[in-house]
Amino acid sequence: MTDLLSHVLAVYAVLTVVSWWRDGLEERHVAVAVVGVVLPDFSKVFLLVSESTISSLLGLPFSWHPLHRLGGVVVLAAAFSLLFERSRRLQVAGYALLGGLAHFPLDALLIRADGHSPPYFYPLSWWQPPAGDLFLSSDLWPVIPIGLLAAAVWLVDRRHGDPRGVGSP
Amino acid sequence: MSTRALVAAALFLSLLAMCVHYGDVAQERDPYPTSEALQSDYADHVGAPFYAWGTVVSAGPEGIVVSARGVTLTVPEPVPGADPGDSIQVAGTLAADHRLVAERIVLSDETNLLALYVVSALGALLAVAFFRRHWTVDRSGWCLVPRDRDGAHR
Repeated sequence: MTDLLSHVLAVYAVLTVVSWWRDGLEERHVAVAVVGVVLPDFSKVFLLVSESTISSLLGLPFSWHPLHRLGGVVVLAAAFSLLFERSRRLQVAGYALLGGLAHFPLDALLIRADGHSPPYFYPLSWWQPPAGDLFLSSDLWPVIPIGLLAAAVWLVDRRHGDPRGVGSP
Repeated sequence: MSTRALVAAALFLSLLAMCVHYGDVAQERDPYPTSEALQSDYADHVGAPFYAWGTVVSAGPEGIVVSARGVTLTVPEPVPGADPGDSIQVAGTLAADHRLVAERIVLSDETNLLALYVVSALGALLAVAFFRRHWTVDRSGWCLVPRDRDGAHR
């Protein structure tokens, strides 16, 4: 996995820039997407409760991996939306799903010795996208350019709000 | 039972179904020998392609020993920077006597993994703080609502 800070900052930066051009995309929606990008890493629960423990409890095979796949993200985004008032649930689920799906392109850039990323599209498909082979999951350098980008976006957003309006009468 | 509880139960069951299905099917779809298969009859898989995440058991100028997929494999080539305890990805072909003819080896420094967890925890805290800036709990309905309902945010 890419470090979570890079994921959070990347989604913040991209959606904040999009919000400059897209009416209706407010900072609170970006905040929901930022939580959404964290959802796939709920699969790291295996560090606390092993798959074999659950498997022996259920008497069935078990894997935490679906939480880090399309199907798991859809379910987690929908579950997250249930925490909100009814009128906002659909919108929240959409932004949480958007954030969750934004997790995968960054993870797909990881170096994999066999050249294949995991089957992110499960349960729709077992296809494994080619690995980007750009950095290791233990590398921390990606957070530097992504952090600088997020800081620049934050500064522009604070100073000008909507850069489209800068200089306009 | 409220609609919200019903939907939550349906979502939980669908997630559980995926976790069980994945656990059941993933091994069958795995193109590489499973840990059970390797432990029960290693010789049967000599010549098979292999890929796994593992842990460096020992490292020296003559090669490294890796624990992966329930077996211990010797990679007869030096891996610069490898230390016992490091996480490692190995891809190659299984050879006799628990050896691996490696085509690609990717090493992850164990100290970097600790830093990864620390930085990731920072990311989670940042996400929660940013979220709490915009959303709060409405105690009358026990649900999350915008902190500023008048829409003063951009």
